[in-house]
Amino acid sequence: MAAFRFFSKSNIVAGLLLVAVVACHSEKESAESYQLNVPQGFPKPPIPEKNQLTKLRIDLGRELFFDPILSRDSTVSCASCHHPEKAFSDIEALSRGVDDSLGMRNAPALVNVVYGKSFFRDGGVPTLEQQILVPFDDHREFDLNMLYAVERLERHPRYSKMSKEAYGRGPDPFTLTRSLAAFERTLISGNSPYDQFTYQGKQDALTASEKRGLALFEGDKLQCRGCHAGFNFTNELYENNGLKAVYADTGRARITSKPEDVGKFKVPTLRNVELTGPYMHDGSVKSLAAVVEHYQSGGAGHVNQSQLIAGFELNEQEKRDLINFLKSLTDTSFVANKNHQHPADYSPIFP
Amino acid sequence: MMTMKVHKMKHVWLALAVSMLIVAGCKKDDDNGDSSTTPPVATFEMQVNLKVGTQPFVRNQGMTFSDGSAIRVENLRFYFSDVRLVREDGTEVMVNDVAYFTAGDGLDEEAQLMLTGYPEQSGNYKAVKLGVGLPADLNASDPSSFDSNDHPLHTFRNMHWGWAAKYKFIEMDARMDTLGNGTFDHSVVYHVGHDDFYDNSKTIDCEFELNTGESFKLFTSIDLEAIFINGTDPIDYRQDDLTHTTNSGYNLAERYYTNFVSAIQ
Repeated sequence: MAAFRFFSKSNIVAGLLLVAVVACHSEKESAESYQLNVPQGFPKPPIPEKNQLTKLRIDLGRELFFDPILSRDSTVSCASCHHPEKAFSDIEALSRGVDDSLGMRNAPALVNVVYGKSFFRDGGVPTLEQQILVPFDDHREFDLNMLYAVERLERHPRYSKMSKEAYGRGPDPFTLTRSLAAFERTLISGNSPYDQFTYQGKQDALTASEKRGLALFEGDKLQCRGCHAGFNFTNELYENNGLKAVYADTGRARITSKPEDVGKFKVPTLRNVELTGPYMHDGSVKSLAAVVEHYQSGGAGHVNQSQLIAGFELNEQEKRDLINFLKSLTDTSFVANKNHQHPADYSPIFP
Repeated sequence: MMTMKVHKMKHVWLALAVSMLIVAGCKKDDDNGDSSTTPPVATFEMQVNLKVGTQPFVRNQGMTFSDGSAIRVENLRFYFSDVRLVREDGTEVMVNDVAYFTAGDGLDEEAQLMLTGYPEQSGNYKAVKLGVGLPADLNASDPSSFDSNDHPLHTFRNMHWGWAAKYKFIEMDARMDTLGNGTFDHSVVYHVGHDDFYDNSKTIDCEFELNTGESFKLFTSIDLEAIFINGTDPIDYRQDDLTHTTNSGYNLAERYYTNFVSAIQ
């Protein structure tokens, strides 16, 4: 009789309502959107319809970003080559992956990637989500089959729980790539002295030298803006900047197989450039002064070299001014942002 | 007692119905499952037999070419796509948009690979047309976006080049016995795929009638010897032994692709 009463109409309805609430809870929670803090003067960033930002998704991506669990021998994380204090770039010319393997190219800074139209130095990947797949495939980076990566996360109670809360499903390639991309979309830098001067109306944000350097940067003499255009200091295109006469790394041509793309690489943002050395696709240029000297020289003369790389004359004061301006693109609030750093309350577990 | 049972049954059915509504209500509408749940009017099957000359292909087993050299294939995987049946009047009926074949995941017996499709029209057919690899729209797919692990383009197939955000059309890893002394000491790697290669005009002539409720199986084969020995532009694997379709390997990849398509009989 007690069992029968358990199945009474009112109990069933109440039970079903409870099931409905529980079933929909995770989706409701994950559906609470996260509003990016878009700096003044910046456009509204594009967010994929199927990976809308929520705090739960960003938190999951943040923890994964700093966790070496994603590499074959659990020694390398995303942050091993993308250090927050270096504007998510690396101090090494070429980064090292599992087994101390040397990477192919200099790790690019993950600054304002939410605005990126393509990813990697050769632009071979069209979305941040697909970018996440690459280090898993590369035997010089994580070298971990995605199948095994997902199995590790499934065994990990914390990630299993976070994935279900964030996406309504357990760890899989979708949640892994989407959550990491969600975190990377929050890495927005737009509060440098340059931004304060240009977009926030603070006339004293730049020194006299930095203002002179800005004028040089934007002037016809140097033509820097020809490639480093717009609010993010990149035209998102591919250029041969004359670094080499012969390119062992063919750059964009690796993707297109076109001879006219040999030696072309994606124009990087210059935001936080003071922190992101060494420079160029192979990290072969050690300092900002050396970068300026390269462009001053007019390049090595590769057949595909951009016509904008034609050389110029600068006196020592102008050179200092230009470099000082480049340093004014450093956003200290960005590199000090605790929300971009390793979660303090989290210790990696190695299942 | 019977009445109570019926009453309880009503509650159970009510619970099931409401539960279904809850599940349906919370389910995202981005399910990308295949369309095989559509009731078929007919069944078309294509069996692909791999071979080396006159010998059946067996993975991880040495097979001798007609010139005396030998090959031991450790991995062979590829895509067919845009598979269509050609009616007598020349119109085409789609039966399968993409199929993944593998002779590399533990398949050590004689390789027989199957493709199944359900044409929505009955009639008399004179040929089958297909593409090797993937058309540009499918080639640009994000492999992590597919819900089903069984999807031909899912990440777990390991056919995706992350760095290029494109798929390999054909992946072959093998060892060659170039001296004919029984030692397979020469590694050959052909990882092939590019939008510019894609050709969906491969035609296999075959006359058959297929009506509602009926099935038809087409037997085809791929002769690896036609890639390396007998083709119109055979690949000398002693020299041209490696390509990932990048840079200097592009032309070799294109030749391998062309030969592979020609090897389908």
